[in-house]
Amino acid sequence: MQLEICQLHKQYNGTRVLDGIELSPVTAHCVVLVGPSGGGKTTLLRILAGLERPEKGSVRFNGELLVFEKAPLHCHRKRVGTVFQSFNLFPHLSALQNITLPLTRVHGVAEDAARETAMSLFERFQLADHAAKHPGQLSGGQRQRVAIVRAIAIKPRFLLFDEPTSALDPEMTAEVLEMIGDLREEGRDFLLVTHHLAFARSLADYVLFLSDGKILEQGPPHKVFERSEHPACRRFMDRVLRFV
Amino acid sequence: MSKWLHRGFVLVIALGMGCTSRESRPLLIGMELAYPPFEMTDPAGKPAGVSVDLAHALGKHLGRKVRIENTPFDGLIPALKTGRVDLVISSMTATPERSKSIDFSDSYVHTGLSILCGIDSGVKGIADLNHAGRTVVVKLGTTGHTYATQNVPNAKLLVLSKESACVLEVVQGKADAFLYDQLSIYMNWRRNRETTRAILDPFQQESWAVGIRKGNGAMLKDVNDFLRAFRSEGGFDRLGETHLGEMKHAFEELGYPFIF
Amino acid sequence: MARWFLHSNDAGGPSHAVRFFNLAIVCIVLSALFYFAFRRIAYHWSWEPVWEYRQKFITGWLVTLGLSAAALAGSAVVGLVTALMRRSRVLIVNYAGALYVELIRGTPLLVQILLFFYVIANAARLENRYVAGVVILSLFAGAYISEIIRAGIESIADSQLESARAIGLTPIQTYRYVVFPQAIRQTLPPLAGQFVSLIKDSSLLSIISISEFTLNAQEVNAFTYSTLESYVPLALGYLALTLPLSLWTRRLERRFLYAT
Repeated sequence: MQLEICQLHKQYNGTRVLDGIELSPVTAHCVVLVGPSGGGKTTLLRILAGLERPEKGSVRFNGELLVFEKAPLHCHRKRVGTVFQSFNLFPHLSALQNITLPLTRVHGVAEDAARETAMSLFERFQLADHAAKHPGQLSGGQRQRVAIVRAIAIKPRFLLFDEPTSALDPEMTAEVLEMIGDLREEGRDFLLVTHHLAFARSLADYVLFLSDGKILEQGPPHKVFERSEHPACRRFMDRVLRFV
Repeated sequence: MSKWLHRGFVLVIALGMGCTSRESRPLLIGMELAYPPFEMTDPAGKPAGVSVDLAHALGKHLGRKVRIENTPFDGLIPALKTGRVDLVISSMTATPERSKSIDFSDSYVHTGLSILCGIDSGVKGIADLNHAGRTVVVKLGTTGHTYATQNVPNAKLLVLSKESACVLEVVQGKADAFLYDQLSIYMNWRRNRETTRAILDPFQQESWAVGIRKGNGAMLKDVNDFLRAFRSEGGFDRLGETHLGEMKHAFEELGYPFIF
Repeated sequence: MARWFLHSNDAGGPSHAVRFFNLAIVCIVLSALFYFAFRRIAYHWSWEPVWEYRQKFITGWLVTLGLSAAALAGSAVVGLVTALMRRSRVLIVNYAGALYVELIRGTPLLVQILLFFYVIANAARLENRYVAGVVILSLFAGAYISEIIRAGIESIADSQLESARAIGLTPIQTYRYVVFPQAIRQTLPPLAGQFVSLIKDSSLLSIISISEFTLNAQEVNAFTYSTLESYVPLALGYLALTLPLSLWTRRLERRFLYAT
């Protein structure tokens, strides 16, 4: 996927969250966003997912401009798979129904075909036993993996992950990261916001370091993580990587 | 065990009923204070009217204090039967059916059932009402209610608990006629001249009496003695002048015999 | 010993035998209380006259059932519409809904019945009092139900709405597939409770002479003077309607307990 961002600005209630995000066209499969909390990572991701509108600026995916109007955004969301930190699934539906709902109602897939797609994906990711269960009966890790299946079932152009493992314990974190790793190996395109820096380093093609609403450092992983020229980035990496 | 249980219950209930010495207990007289000028409340909220004065006079005669228990009309006989009240003085008609449940004293008022009809209803008499398409309204538990159920079966019957509601139904044209006692029909017509007519000629004669629990022969005798004495010393004439002065003259003009 | 009388800590609670045993004790004590109370006041039970009028009880019960069922449907519709109105971003619509709810919840049903029937229905030329009765009850219960539904809708966390948006559901689709299924399951228990209240509240319609269960029992009482024999079947009749609903409510509450 090719991503280009031009002078993106976003503020909430007078607070400037994104302060002129600038990204010259980057072609990569896996783009990772890192940085301190409140730096703007989630906001940027939400804009790229079509869930928020910036005040100023533009975004291009594969050369195509993302138009920030209701109908184009709705179209965009249908072609993008998003996984949030938690509360992705609808508690009153089974895991299977959570997958088939967007397939049948949003993408017009027939009921049988949708179920087949869902079940085959479940098989692939060792979730078949849990298909009929409700989210309340699943562990956190299983829930997130089902959420990821939901995101990929619609055959999206790319995926967006917003700290998918932040609410999980180490063991569940591992199972989710494994799955994301598998997706990477398949060659899927995705943007990942995470604070698991070692994992990010192993997966990423391109890394963006965000702080105070700006991209302070960007580049291939080894540059951002080890040989950063920007002082704020170096400080962050030194501190956090010490404990990884 | 069961003996103490029984005594325990008796104690609880006796306390609840406030049973003390019979003689010092006030005489409880049941009436529905919604029937001016016989049973009503004065602006200060105290019971007033013909029946209230009569009740107090009776109390004086018997040497007992009197307490008025305001009870809905259809609850008076049940209250008498269960002992919640000792007497019923509420402009109640003595009917053979009611006499199966309670005893009545000698009559002290002679009146009858009349009709209050809508001004456009075209009702000329009680016979006019016994047709499908006619609507008759009555007050729950009154002789009007009984009469309508038995003698006006073809009309649609509306049963309400309050006299004022019955009158409102006629005034609004929801009912063709209200069957009630002559005096009240007259007074309600007076208050609603633009919307109602009154057919005062009674289609059924009635007389009112005091209600007494069955088996209370001594009380029955006392009340009858009182009524006789009260009438002979002009008590009823006094009551008529005080509460019903204007009515008395109006009825004299219309040519109807007055109730007392 | 304790096993027979105390609530058990085992899963599923005490056994059926223990439950039945303790329930029987409570019922027997209650019955004994009533029995001794009646013996004390020497109430003479006469069931025959009431048995003669059994058709009135049956008819009245069926009318109450019909009225309640119709008002149930009506109030569900009113409640749903009002809940959506109160969530509307159009201020006029929002405020209209809020005003309606506050007015209904802040005034007694009795007052609403009288005002609606004698003023509003009259102005609107609504003749049929049964239709008026259903409308009144629907408007009354609808206000309470709208609050229950609104709470149910708002209890659906924003994160779910966000999730729905992210996967491309339109607002209408979100309501249909995400909000309503969950809101309905959560509000079903309080809704069922509201319906039980509706059945009991329908008894007030007797004051505008709707011939439902309570009025019929009152009429039987007026004819036979057998108050307790009229009103005990009345209470039992209402229980026959409300008890199954209450039990069903409790089953519903247990069924829809899933973690969100």
